[in-house]
Amino acid sequence: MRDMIDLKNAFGQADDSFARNVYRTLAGIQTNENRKHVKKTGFRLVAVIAVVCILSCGTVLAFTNTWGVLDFLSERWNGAKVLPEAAEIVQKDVSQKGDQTGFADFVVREAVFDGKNIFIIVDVKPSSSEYLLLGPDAYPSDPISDMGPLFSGKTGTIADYARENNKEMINTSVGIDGANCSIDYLLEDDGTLVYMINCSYSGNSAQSEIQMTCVSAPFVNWEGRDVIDMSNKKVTPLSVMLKNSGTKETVTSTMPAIYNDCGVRVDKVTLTGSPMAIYADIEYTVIDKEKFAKTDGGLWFEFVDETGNCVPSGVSSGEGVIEASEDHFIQKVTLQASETLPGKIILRGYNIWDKNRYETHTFEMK
Amino acid sequence: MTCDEFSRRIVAMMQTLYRVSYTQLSQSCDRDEAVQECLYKAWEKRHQLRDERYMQTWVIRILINECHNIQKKRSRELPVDEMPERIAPPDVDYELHDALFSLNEKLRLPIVLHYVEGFSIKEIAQILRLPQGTVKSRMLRGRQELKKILSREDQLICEI
Repeated sequence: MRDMIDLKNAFGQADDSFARNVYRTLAGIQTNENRKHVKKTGFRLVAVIAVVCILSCGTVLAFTNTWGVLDFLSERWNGAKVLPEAAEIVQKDVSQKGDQTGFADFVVREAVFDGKNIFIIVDVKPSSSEYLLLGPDAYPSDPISDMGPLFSGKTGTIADYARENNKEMINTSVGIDGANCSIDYLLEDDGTLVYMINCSYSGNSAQSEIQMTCVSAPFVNWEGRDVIDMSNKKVTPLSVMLKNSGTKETVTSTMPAIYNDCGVRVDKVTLTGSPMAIYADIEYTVIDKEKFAKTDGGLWFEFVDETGNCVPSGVSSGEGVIEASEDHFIQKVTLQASETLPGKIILRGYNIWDKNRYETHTFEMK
Repeated sequence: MTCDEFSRRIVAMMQTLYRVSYTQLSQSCDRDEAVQECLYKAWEKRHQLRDERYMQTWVIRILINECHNIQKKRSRELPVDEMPERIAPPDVDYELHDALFSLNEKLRLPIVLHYVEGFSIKEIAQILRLPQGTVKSRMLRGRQELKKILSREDQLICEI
């Protein structure tokens, strides 16, 4: 017989990775607090890393370190479209200051900052040919085939491969302080781990200095398990100067619209164009708490075309829904880049839980 | 609240943050993202917390919102059928784990918040922004479903 109290046993303990993430975030908040007297062009300085992708993509990898921002976007990020002029705002010579971590050298090779979003390519080169670099969410027990085309067709785990080839496994991670980053990475033929980092990052200055945190630590075998040796963890900051290419025009909706089904009023929609994407902010207010409560937090506005099909998303998933104040929310998403901003948009309410579709309204944009 | 005090209280909530995010998100990278954003927002909006005694309830509400945000984003990125399955940690009761996670999230979350995290019905209603009656009815349905799932081999005692 069991008691409901046994339900605690349905969960394990917070694992090392989760705890490390919490401590790192708190350390970043502490850093921010200590630095608040320093003008940092309004940037948040909380070290956070969010891993979005693992090396399971079947895309053919480049065999030299040629993977750039636009390559990642077109080959690995669902083919998100950017404008041709996006190539012109990719910085190839990025001013930076940083050190080796001891196990690897972190170098920013490319960057894009359009005033709304940052995209950065970091080459992580092992300081010894004996090191096998793993991304932050890759574990020795994962299949070696996850490491990409270099390992396609191979069986066994990453740990098996490392032992067979006398490689020492090194855990690495890299993130932008104060930003909630999406990270993708792939292993090159020469052992370089190439990171693509993306995050929302607002700034109006012509150039902005961002702080990155680079971490590496070896895996060691402890009681038969491969674990990260935190006592041998190497952390180094990397200071990077980004040029702000800026956004283009902005349009806003002219009239609010009421979505009776879900109890909200969309007050304003703002679209801001850039060669990388159209950034959309949908501001809405709860006007019927009972109806809104029935959405159970599942309300999402989707951009649709005149036939009711969803408009393709942009290069970044956006920040999601932000609770600006009591009963006032802002949904931040991106749409595919376009030469011109639309004169009207169509928004449909949608519930992610029960898949129910609410009303659809058209907004004139000026 | 000082940064040290904030950090100390968050560290004390570590297991709760883990379990609540685990209840809603199957991928560890998503859980990390949700918790990072939650902590950042909690720290940024700490002045909105009128009474620090309610910090845990307040932080959990923020975390649940962040988990919903990620679910919304993911629902646009991958069809639900292609979402990888939740991998149970090694130190769990697998039978209970599988039973609990076979429940619809709407039923699972109130049960976890009450029976695992010890929140009252009133607190859960505040966290989930639902009427207390809705919370109670979801817990009742959740318990009934759990009993049904587990009844083949075992029986879960629960007061209804």
